[in-house]
Amino acid sequence: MILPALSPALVAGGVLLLAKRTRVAFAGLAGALGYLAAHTALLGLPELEPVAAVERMPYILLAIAAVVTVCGARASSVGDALLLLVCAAGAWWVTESARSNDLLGTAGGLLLGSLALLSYASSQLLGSISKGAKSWAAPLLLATSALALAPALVMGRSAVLGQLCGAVCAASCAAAFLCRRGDFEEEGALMARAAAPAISLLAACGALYAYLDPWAAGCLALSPLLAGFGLQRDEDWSPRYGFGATSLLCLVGLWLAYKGMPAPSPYDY
Amino acid sequence: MKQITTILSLALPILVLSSLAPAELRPYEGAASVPAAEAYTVDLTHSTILFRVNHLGISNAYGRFNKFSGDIQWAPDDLGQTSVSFEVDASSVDSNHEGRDDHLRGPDFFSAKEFPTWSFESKEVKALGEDRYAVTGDMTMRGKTEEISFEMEKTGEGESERFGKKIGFEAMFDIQRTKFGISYATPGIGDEVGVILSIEANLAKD
Repeated sequence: MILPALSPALVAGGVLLLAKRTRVAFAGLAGALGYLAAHTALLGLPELEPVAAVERMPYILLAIAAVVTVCGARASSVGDALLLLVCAAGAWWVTESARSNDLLGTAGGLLLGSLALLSYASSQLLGSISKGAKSWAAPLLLATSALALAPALVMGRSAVLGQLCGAVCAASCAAAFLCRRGDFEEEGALMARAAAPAISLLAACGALYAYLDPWAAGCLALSPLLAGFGLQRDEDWSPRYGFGATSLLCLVGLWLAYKGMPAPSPYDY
Repeated sequence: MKQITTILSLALPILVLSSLAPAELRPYEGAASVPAAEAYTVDLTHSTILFRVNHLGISNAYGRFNKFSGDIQWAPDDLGQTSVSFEVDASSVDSNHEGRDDHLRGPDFFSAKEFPTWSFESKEVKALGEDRYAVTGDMTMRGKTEEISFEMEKTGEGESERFGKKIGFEAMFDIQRTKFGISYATPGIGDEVGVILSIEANLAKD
């Protein structure tokens, strides 16, 4: 129990420290490697030919992290296009079983597109707000969303998805802590940019394959985007408005997850 | 006259031989004289699939699947023609606790929304002794296929006007759930899952 909780924080922290000493762009790998560590501690190494969405998640996050690492902190149209492409491929891969089993029905294409855009937009927004804010803001925002999504997934009857979301939270908290203590500049933003799609993808897994209320999943997947409320005209970012809006939507999502939780409790045995 | 006799003497054997020719081919058709396999379909009302898993090293918890289907091609004299296939509805799991059943259906265990059915297709059936058979085949659970082998016993067969022709089998075997990607909560909840299969099948009507 302790290893899956500690490993993402230790791995993400280690990668950030390494990135600071070697190359800043490596910070993009912190979240994905932390997630991979938790996945390995919980479920073993990811399968080489994954068929389940849970098994595919580490590969998707590693691909997104690779794009962020290669493209670095500088915004470029090629980098943005690559990121959008990987987010779309990730959304496609995660929802493949749902589409083949008609779980998405006629709205499947719409949901797939929304998921891809949501993953991309969360990544872009969290990457951009730190330009005008302190470097710990982006990972802490990600940690806030993950902190709400993890218990919601557990309420949706998947302890595994909840624990993996907890790994995102632990890795983000470690990044925020390090960025707050040390003189990190872009590392926090890069880490959050690469790990942000995990929130929307895990929320989608919870709604599609577990019993997470779809409205709750929607609110929690959208919550990182509400940090955009803190953006001001002079490209500065207000933590009060940003964290306020994100936290508010997280609370609404948690409440909906609680209300939508099927009875009786799955863990009462 | 002599010419006619000669022609007839030549033609008659040709006619006789030509009439025999198809008969000479018949043994080839007759090679299929081994009776064809009888097709049986699983009678869900009188069949059971139970599973058993160790809980915390203390006890064995049992559960069952309430929806499944299966076909048996039965040719006891030519086991090469004998085959067994099953399809189990993963969401029909019943462990006598509604909340636990939902958890079992979720991504932690069966991920029934993602992988609604499990299947078994036999590849080989061998005789082991009187009414005992070794079955080898591919089991697909949670999208992963693994080869498994188990011993199957024919528990009986019979025919009556009311019920038609029936046949029964029973098998008990273990599978390792981690091989099928179900690794949550091991070893607290055991890796080895015992499967108890009791099947009654009806002769399929043409």
